[in-house]
Amino acid sequence: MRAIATRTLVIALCLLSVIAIGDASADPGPKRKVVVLEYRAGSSALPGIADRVVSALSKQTSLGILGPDQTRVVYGDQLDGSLVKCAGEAECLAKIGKKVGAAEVILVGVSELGDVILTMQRIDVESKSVSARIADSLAEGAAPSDAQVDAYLQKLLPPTDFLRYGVIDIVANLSGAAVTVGGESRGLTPIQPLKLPAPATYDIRIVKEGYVPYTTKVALPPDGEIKVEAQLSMRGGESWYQRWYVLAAAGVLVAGAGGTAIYFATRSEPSDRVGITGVVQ
Amino acid sequence: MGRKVHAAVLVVSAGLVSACGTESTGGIELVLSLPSSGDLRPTGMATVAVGITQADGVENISTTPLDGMRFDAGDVALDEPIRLRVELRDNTSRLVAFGLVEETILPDRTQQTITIPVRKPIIYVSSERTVGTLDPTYDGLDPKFQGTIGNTTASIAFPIDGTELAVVTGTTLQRIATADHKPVGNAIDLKVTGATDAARIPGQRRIVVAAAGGLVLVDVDTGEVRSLATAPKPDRVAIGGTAETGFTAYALIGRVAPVTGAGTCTGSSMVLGYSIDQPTELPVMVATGQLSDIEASGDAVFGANPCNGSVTRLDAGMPRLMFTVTGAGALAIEGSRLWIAGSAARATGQGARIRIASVRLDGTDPQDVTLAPKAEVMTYDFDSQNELSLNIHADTLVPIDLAVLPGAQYVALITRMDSHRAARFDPSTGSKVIPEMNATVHDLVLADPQTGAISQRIRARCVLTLIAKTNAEFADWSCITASGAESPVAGESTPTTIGALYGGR
Repeated sequence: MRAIATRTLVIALCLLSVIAIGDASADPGPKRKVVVLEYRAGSSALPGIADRVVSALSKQTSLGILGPDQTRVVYGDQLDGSLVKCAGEAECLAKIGKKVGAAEVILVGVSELGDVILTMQRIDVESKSVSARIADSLAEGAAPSDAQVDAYLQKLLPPTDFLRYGVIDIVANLSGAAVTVGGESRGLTPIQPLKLPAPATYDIRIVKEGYVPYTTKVALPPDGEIKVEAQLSMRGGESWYQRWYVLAAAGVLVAGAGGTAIYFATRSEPSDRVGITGVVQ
Repeated sequence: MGRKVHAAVLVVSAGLVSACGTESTGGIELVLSLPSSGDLRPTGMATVAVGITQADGVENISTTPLDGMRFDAGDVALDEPIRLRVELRDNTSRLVAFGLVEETILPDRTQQTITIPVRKPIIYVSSERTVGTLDPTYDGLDPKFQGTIGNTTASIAFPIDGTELAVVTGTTLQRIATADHKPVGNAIDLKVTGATDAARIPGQRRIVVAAAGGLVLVDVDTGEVRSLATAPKPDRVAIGGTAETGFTAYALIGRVAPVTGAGTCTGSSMVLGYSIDQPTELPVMVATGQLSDIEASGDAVFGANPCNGSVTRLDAGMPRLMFTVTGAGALAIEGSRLWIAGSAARATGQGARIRIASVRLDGTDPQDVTLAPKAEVMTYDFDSQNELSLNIHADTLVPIDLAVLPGAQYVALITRMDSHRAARFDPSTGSKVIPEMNATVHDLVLADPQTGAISQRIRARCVLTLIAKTNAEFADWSCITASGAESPVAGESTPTTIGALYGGR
């Protein structure tokens, strides 16, 4: 009975602590160096949880993330011993962060008290203090989903860390061509590189009277720069008598049954295209 | 009357459209074949860019996200020959894999399936030790960034194509699979020793090896070896020409290296052209001068003169002068650009630098950047507190070899720094405090050619020579211990050649 009460209390405390501490709304540099460390209090639950945190942060933020393995390379093999000595204490962990040149330390802690307790502390290296902390209670044998890990991190870190941009640099071989990106007009070439929310996919269309329009689709990765070099070529066969329906009419009128001829005359029109698809194996 | 004509046209047109619709639409399915497992299998791919080059040389790039492992790269015109290359990038836009199709493809109304070997852009470094690898898809601190290929001591390694390397050790050439870095097939006896360079015949699995015993042509599939020339000894080799006009091996003889330390530019070079498939033709003298490196593409042959800092076309083509780069020491061709590594002299308070320039093969669009000044730290041997150190600026910094990674996201360099520092004396007593010293440092450098930022440096070897040290107060000094990502995992070595899979060299 007492054990159940204790466990209930722990869970309640842990769930409360999700919002108990922290000012995740502060706006530090979005590219600051953050080291992710793992501390286990005699628990082997949630194997690889720190690596999952590293992976999630690498995908969703522009932070310079140093995972446990990389930190060990920089800090030395004594990292694990130092972590044990720190026992979760912020000032001590900040020293580790400082030694590897990080602005912040995220300590992923795993302990067991019946349930598995997962904690994440965000420690500011300069002030040597905890700036945000979350904790969650998980049933024995359970592991947080990727979505849950993402949710933890969004509580732990300021929202600005999750706003990411990329740059599309459009260079055309002509000036005065109208550029549309994602359905929005961006002016006439030459244009400055465009800073756009990323990751996202953008349709790009570059149009100039008398030239074949250039269209492409670009997947813009966060912090990436994609250069689009557009070569607009002059339209061929622009004279009225070169258009396919006029040729067809001429075929009908002059040769009567000129369909076959028209077919061969029109089969090399730009609309005759084949798709390229692919698979990665 | 007019309406009737239009109606008739429409009827005929509709019939034609429906007739066309019954024909097969065709399509091209690209199968990007990655190594099946292990550290050489690219990971983290987020986007795929398919570069489609038309017959006129214009390339359109279609960049799309990977939907699972599938992608859609748009469409191409029927019956117009194209060439294809693919780039896989991660979500930070870093190139993680590359592949290309060397043969021309003709899109038609059939369904074509084209398998492209796609590999990480691994860098291969040759030295007196085993062949080293750098994997630029990892951060420098990652233990997987540096590696080695076993049983390749004192070898030189050159990519044959995307799937295999040629590793020349002594008189033998061994193919190594790029998918797993394991040997493929039997070793080939070249019958010559002292290989210094090699170049591949474009689009073929034949390479020409420059060695102390002359130039040899090797078919890596059949093992056939043919001597092109036994003398004079070539230092560098490049291949020009086309399948239609025939290929020529250009040999640089009497390489004049860029000046190091207090040396001067001495010596003379010549470039001889050997017909590869017409063995009875006599070699042709292409150029003479003071050349450090040569490169060729089609009918153009380029030479770098480190003494006057010029990079010129050695054949009759124009423009004659491609670029002026002080100490131009190494060349590479990647795609449609010629890349040049040279030097920038030291200035007050800062060391010499490496300069990276590039220009289109037709001589247009010149670009260049200068990398950060070079210095090396020397520490006093008996300083337990690590407080006594000297930051020695490079008197000279020269490129030994240059490779350009596919797409030119990075260039990889071997550099050599030389510095002389006079002894320092106590002005009040006149006693010697620090001895005279010479430093020679070899680095492997990975740099961004757009910005000049050095993304990674590995100090391959640092040699400090102390002169008349015995009467100095602080007599014993050493190169600072390289640490972290700057430390060569396989130990110190003097690198001689560098190449990149699918890259230019």
